[in-house]
Amino acid sequence: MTDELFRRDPELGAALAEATADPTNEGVDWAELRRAINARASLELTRRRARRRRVLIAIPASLAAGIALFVLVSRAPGRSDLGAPANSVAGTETSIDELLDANVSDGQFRALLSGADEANDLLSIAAGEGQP
Amino acid sequence: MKASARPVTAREADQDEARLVEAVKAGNAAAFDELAGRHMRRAFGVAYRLLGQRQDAEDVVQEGFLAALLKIDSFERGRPFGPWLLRIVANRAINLRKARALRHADPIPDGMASGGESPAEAAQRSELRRELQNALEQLPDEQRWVVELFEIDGFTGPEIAEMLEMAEGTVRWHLHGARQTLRTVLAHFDVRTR
Repeated sequence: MTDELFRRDPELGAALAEATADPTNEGVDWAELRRAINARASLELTRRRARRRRVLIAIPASLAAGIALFVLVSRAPGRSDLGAPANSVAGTETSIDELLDANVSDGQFRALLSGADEANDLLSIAAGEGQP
Repeated sequence: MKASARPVTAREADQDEARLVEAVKAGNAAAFDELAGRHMRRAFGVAYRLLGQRQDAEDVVQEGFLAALLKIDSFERGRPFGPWLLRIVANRAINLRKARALRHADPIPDGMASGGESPAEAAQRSELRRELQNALEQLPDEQRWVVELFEIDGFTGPEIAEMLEMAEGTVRWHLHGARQTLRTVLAHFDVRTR
């Protein structure tokens, strides 16, 4: 639909402009109005800056806390990881030296060192079948 | 040193304004000041058209900017800031006007300036002005706002629709009604003065 109605009428516009006051000629002190606008907004702007600072501090802090927690958890000695290489056949902590001295087959030794964590592999080792 | 003064395209201006809005969301006072500088005159023009009084219009503009800041997080990215702000200002002006109407304290719009012309021309112009003012005063508020914002201030139909929270069809309807009345005044004046 062409919009005839939304076409300006220059004659009417000019007559109306003359008949009504021009807002920009109303003796407005624009600098003062701008200052007043800024003054009224200053509290809210300060609040926003403070909130942003808190967010900027909180994000890296939570990230750092998350990483620290991950590291701690992954290094925890009580972790129930069946395939952890440091665990002995008997389930107690075993050092590399103890492992070297232990009376196990080559397959069992490799499995313990590589941390094979498949239950079947471990069962095979326990059953003395050698290679996982 | 600055490079050549290439004219800023509308797209660049929009992007620049979007950056200012994002900075304001983060509390940047300089960005807010820049937005105020860009839009306060138009905002004042709208408020003045709706209120007909300078001091009230200035107050409404200040309140409008503060209200815009308070809800700037809900401002949709990519939309132009100006019409959104003007809508807030217009809303406040209309509310103030309604409150004033309840108090029966509607002020008479401030007077107009006249240019240098012969006494006969000045008298004719003055008469036309008076008749148009009378006709404007007789119009329903919505018709007067629409015709003034459209014909004098140069806002588009959709802009006025957004500002006054009307359907575009309603804006058309008001514009049509106001024009009919005002054109009749102009036509009668032409016939009498010829």
